[in-house]
This record gives sequence, C-alpha cells and structure tokens, in this order.
Amino acid sequence: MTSLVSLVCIGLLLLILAPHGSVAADLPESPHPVVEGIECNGNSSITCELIRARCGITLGRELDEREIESARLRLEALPNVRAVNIHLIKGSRKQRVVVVIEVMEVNPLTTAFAAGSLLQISTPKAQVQTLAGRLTDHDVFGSGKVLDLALIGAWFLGGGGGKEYATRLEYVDPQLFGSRRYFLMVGGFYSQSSYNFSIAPDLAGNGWNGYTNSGAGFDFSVGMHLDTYSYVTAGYRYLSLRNTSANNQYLTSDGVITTLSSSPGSVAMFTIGRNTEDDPFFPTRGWLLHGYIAMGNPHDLTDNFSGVVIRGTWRAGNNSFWTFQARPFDDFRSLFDDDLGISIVYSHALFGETQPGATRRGRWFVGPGVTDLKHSLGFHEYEVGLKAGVRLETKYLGTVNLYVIANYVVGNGY
Amino acid sequence: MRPGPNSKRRLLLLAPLSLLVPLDVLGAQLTPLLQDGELGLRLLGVGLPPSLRQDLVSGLTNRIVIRVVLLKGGQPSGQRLIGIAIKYDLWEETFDVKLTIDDAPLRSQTCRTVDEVISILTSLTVPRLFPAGAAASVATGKLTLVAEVLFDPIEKARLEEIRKWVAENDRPIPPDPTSVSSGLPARPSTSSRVFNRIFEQYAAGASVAAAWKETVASAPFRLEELRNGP
Repeated sequence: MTSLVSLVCIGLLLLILAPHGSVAADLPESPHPVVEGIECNGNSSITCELIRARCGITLGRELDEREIESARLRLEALPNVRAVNIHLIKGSRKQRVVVVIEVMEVNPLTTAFAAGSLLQISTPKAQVQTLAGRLTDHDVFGSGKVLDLALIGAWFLGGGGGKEYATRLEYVDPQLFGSRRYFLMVGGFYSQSSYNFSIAPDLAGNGWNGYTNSGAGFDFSVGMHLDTYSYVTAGYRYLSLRNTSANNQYLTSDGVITTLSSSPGSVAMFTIGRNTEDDPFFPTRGWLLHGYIAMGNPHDLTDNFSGVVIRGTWRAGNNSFWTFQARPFDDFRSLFDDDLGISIVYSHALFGETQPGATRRGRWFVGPGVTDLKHSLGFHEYEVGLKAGVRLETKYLGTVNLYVIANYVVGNGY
Repeated sequence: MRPGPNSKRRLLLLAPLSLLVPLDVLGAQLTPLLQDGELGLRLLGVGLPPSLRQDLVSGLTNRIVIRVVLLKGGQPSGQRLIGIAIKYDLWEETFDVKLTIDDAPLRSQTCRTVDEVISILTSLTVPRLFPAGAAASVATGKLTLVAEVLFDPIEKARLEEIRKWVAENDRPIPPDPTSVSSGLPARPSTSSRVFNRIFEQYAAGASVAAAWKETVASAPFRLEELRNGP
C-alpha cells in the first residue's frame, strides 16, 4: 500500500515538474525524426503565427518531407513572399528536430508600365500613342489590404487631334472583415477626352467638329467567391459628366471599364466571373470569363451598359502559347484599348531554357484581330489589324509591356 | 590565316550573344562509356544551384533526378532515370548518398564533407544504363546521350493540389478587366517567380519539373568508336 502511495506521489511530482506546453516532454519515442518546434527567420511584415498556420506542419508528429516541400510551395505563393527556405536543426535530443522556416519578403510596392502605338494605315491615317503606369501597395500599413493608383493617357500624333487620359485610385480588401469569402473594392476616378477632327460629323450641331468630355465619380463593389475560381460582385457607381456637346454618347473610362455614357447619375453594377488562369501576366493555361451589367436610368439605355470579356490560353509548343481573346459586346474602340476586339495571339517565352530565379521572365507575342466599330462616332466599320509586342519582368520598372498595333479600317457604312 | 573583316563582324555580333548563355552550361560535359558491352555515362561539371551547399546541410533529403535519353538517329530509343538522394545526419554530421536507377538501388556511400558530395555530383559515373542491343548503331544515324538534371523535382499532381489550396486559402482578388483589354497593365503579382516558373515548365510539356534544371547532351558517337572498359 505504501509503495502504491509512493508511486502515485512520484507520478504527481513528475507531472508538476514537467514544463507546461513543452512539446518535447509529450513526444513519443520514434525511430524517425519528430517535429519538436517551428521557428521563423527573416519575416518582418508576415507574422510567425501566420507562417505556422500556413505551413501545415504539425508539432509532435513524425517529420514528413513531402509535407515540408508542400509547405514551402504554399508559403512561396503568399503575397509579399519571394522565396522560402526550410531547414532542420537539432532538437532537445536525438530524433527530435526543430523546423526553421526562412522567409525572404518582397517589397509590397510594385510598379508596372505599358507603352503602345496604334498605326491606322487606312484613310484617315492616324497614329495614337499610349502610355500607362500603375503603382500598387499590396500590404498597406502591414494590413494585407491593397491600394492601387493607375494612370493612362493616349494622344494622336498628327492627323486631326485629340487626347484622352484617365486615372483611378482603388482600395481593395481581399478578405472583408477577415472573411475568406468576401472582398471589397472601392475606387475613385477621373477621365477626360478632347477631340478636334479634320473629317468628322458636326457633333454639337454648331459647326465645331470636336468635343471635350470629362467624367468623374466613385464606385464600390462587394465580391463573393463562389468556389475555387468563380466569383460575383455587386456594386454602385456614381458618374458625373461634363460634355461640350450634350445628348451624345461618349466613351467614358472609370479607369477599369470604358463605357458609352450620355448622362450622369447612379448606376448599379453586377459582375460574374471565373478565372482559372495560373498567372495573369504570363498565363500558360486556363481561361477567364468576366461579365458585367449595369442597371442605370431605365429611360437612358446608354446607362445600361454591359459587356463580356473572354480569354483562354493553351500550349502551342515548347515555351509557346496561344491566347484567344474576345469582347463580343464592345462594339467600339477606346483609345485605351490595347487589343483588337477579337484576337488570337501567339506568344513565346524569351528565356525559356534559362535557370529560374536567375533570369526574369519575358515573352514576345504577335497576333491578328478584328474590332467592330459600330459605336465609334456612328460609323459602322471594322478594324482589321495585327498586334505585336514584348512583355518583360524588369528589375527596376516592374512589369513592362511594349506593343504596336497596325490596323486597317474596312467598310464605309453609317 | 588572318580573319577577314566579315569574320571580325561576326565575332563582334557573337560576343554579346555569348553573354546570354549560362556559364555553368558551358562547363557541363556528357561522355558515353562502354562497359562490359553496355552503355553508361560520365557527367562532368554539371551546373549546381547556388543554394546547394546550404541545402545539403538542411537536414532534409535533397533529391536529384537525371533523366537520360538515348537518341538513335535523333529519335529516342531508350530512357533511364538516375536518382540521387542526399541526406545530412544532424547528429552524426555525415551525408548519406544513395544512387538508384529506375528506383532500383545502385550504390550508397557516406560522405563527411559537403565538398565530397559536390565532387560526386560534378563527376558522376553511371555504367550499364543501356544494353548493347538497344544501343547498337544504325547504319544511317549516330547515337547521342541527353541528360536532363533536375534538382528537387515536384510532381505535377502535387503542384496541382497546392495550386488549388492556394486559390482556396489565399483568395486572391480576381483580375480586373484591364489585364485583358485595356492599355493599363494588370497589377503585378507579388507571388514567387520560382512557383510560377514551375507551372510554366509543366505548361510547356515537361513531365517532371523543378526549380532548377539543366540539360546536357553528348557529342554524337557510334558504339564501335567507344573503347570497351572492364
């Protein structure tokens, strides 16, 4: 009886003396290494708690090297992470290991630039130059929210004249109230276009062949992920317009979508989309469907704009791809459009055989296309053209897109 | 013979182009070996990832897969997979190096230093990969050995799983339509380029992809030209 009491007492004493929460003390003996701890190095904006939660490595379990490799890839897919290196250090005794996760973070500020030329080789001949850029903070004050400033300008070089520019400041919350299902986008925009045509209809009815149109406004949308790749959004947009020529339809850009507008006011917007592309800049496969419909003033059909964007990419051969793209309901061309309405583009990797990490990515591309110009100044014509360019990841300028579109307008019907 | 003005111009044009070729690829050399009537290879100076020395002492297994293809008259006539698994014992501070051919054990050895391991990798001899019958030259074509060296390859299925996991857990904001139809460039992705490059390799038709790989080919040869070793 005394022995039994002594044993219980020793057991209780050991329990009290054992360090609370110590994984090492609780671990079973195992011939294989067991994970005793997880440490983080190199992280500044990402917390170690997030890294531990995302890596999927369980304390106290046998080390699974496949799981370690998967953890590395999952962590490398995190925004703001450039690379992840995982190694082991000795634990408290043999066959106990501590997993050390070293994170190399990227600057959350990213930039992108685009420069393009459109050469219209049929009469009236024209050359349009476009420049665009954007600055994005992917982690505003370490909160994981996104702030994005985009600027775009286009102007004619010789032949008639005109210029157009737009700017948009957008705030994006990828996880609204911490939810993985809902997201929020809030934006403010301003755009202005002015034209003075040498050959054009008398737009204002006052003998002046030109116009100036400016639009400003704000919008917000709440989005919901339906499944892995599908999403819907519902939003509201207020547009204020100033036109020198009233009662006409003009292309107005909110910095994201260019629409035909003739009157200011409120617009309710709905979007549905599906995106299975692996990389929006250098897609290798997958497809994208983005449809939007705006329910504006029921008496003004131009406020009820809608559109669909479709894009699909598939492999053409070693390091080369085909991309089909269409905007079937956009029967106009905005100066900001850098594509031909319906097109098929061949692209080829510039650095396909070089080592990853050592070289930045790049592609050249070329492809024909056709645009329906039904709502471009009332002419119902088609623009047949060819687009060619190069897209590069650069060290100092971020992603750079350089392209030329040469087109020929066919048809002369009103 | 002194080079003419045209040769000089060509050399001037080639000079900047030569900078584009990775230096480690220039150093790699693949030589066929004939041993007991069977064809093997010697791979010298293969390019190694810059992080390899650090990776070798990580305590995790480093896997290298060498896919060797025998080309007969330019057409593949055989393929073998050489596997090398290197694991550092954190307590013994030794490296266990195991070689396999098509998953069958070939040999294993214990190394004491990183330099010993690197020496094995940069001067690798693997005999008896292809039987003499399979390697017999045809009258019209010569033989070539091509070795694709992949460091820590990742299976396609596993990458697909991870991609889905990332899409469901990261919940990236859907791309705005500017990435499709407007002159505005899309918001650049901040995710890892290495991750995207592995996707690209699979999209380009690779059956196995890795963050680091190198392809080395032998000079064309005939079986009769090789000396049969012991």
